[in-house]
Amino acid sequence: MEEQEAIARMKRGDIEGLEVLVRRYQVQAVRAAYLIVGDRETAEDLVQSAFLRAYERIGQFDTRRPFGPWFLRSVVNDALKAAARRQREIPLEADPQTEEASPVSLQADPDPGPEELVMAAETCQAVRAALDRLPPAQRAAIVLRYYLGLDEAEMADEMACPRGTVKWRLHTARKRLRQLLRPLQSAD
Amino acid sequence: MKEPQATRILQEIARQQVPDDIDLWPAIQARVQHRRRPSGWERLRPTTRLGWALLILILSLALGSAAYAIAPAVRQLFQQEAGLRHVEQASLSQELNLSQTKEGVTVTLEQAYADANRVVVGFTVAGPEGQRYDPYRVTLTDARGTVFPLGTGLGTSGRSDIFGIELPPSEGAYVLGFDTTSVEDAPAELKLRLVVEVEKVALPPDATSPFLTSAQPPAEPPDPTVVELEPLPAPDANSLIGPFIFDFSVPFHPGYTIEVQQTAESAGVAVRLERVVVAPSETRAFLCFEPPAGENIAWTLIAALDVGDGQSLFGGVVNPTGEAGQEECHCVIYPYALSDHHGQWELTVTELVGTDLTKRPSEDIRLPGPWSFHFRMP
Repeated sequence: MEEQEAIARMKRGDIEGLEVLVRRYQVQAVRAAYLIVGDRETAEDLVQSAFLRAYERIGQFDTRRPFGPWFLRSVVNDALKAAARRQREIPLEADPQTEEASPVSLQADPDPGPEELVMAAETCQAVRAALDRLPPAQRAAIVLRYYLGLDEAEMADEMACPRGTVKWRLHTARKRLRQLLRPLQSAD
Repeated sequence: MKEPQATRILQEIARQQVPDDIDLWPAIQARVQHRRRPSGWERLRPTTRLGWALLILILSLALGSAAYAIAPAVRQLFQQEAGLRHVEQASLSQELNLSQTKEGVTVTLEQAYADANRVVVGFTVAGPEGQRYDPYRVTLTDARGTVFPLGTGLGTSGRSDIFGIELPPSEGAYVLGFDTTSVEDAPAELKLRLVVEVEKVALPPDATSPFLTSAQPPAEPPDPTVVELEPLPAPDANSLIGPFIFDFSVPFHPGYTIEVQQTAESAGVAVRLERVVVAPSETRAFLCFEPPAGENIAWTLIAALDVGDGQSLFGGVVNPTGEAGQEECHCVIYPYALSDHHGQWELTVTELVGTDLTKRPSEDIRLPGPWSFHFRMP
């Protein structure tokens, strides 16, 4: 069944249409949510709720637009909120080094990018741990940019903030990742 | 290579924790059914004035480039559900075309159909140009005055891309189903009375434009699971027109009633399949069990029906009957034409789902089955 047909069925209340969309987007959505909230169970719950909400509001959905980006944006927003709640409930370990708010150029970063450092890291778990230590908004920025492949303009739209803020979040996130992964790189 | 590398690392992290074969569908399906929104038919049921208003609002989307059917609007609505589509194709529906006009408003009862599960009536409402009237109250009774409960329905006014219908803004078409469980002894025909009252509603300034625009995604409400609706004010007596009263007869299609009376046990709960009623327009299964825990837990079930072809059909569960804390019975409706599927059938309750209503947010209790029942469709 094509996506358009699935959406049309959903608009009629036919849950077979929903099933098609669940099977098409569930893995990508849960993975995106997991990268932000850091907990699979929470990620699955968020995605389930997002699908239910999409089902209930599909009547308002413009069928001329693709469903995937609309849905994934909803998931990322939910994950960001959930991560923020979790952060309030479980304070992250203080890391004064990375809390600096020094002036940062938004131009090209002369230091090695996080990607190189990431490749030097021994395990993905280390990167996962480093991601977990980022504030939720920065984590979401990383996921949107590198996992979902959005450009800065799309990210600004997704995160409902100015493009300059997106640049700032990405830059700060990269910088923090670099700092967090540096010990691993040194250990090599 | 920076970005592809970062992307690969993130994909690897995600893949390690979230495998390709995760399957959220059973859980999502349970949650959909738990909210009592199993199918379009039931989901669109208008039971209140507010429901009617929302029905019209939602179904009157006009988004542009759809192909519109030449068939009359009521027939087009019959095409929206598998069971009623079969009724149309098999010419089981009775043409009536009974019209009444009052104060410039014409209600036409175009067709009707009756079987052991439901009576379905299709009618149109046409107001004067520039005015629109929607159904306010619709009741169906038999010759003895027995009221058939309104079950499910579809409707639209003006243009609907969803249904492929284009009517003038002042006209609407509706197909409503009424529960016929109370009909006994399978009569050859039902003598019925349909009473319709209509209410004047305000047309948007440009009645040819959509009520809803969706250029932007909808705003997020504070809680995605709660939509607070303000009650509509009491209707102005001057805005109501009617009643439009139609007396008519339709052939009754009894279908098959299979008295199964089987009990299966799992997770410490005994579930009984009492009977299955297979009628041309839909099939209903009646399942009963004692709620496993607590009076404040609302239970529902997920039941898949295999009519012998290896495919699982899922139905919608309507509100259970029974006293709190005592045995409750659930009717599962499968809106498909299954009368021709003779032979061995299997109905499997895959899960019982209870919601603790005392918890905020509510918490689900899930009891995995299966509870399986095998029976023969004659």
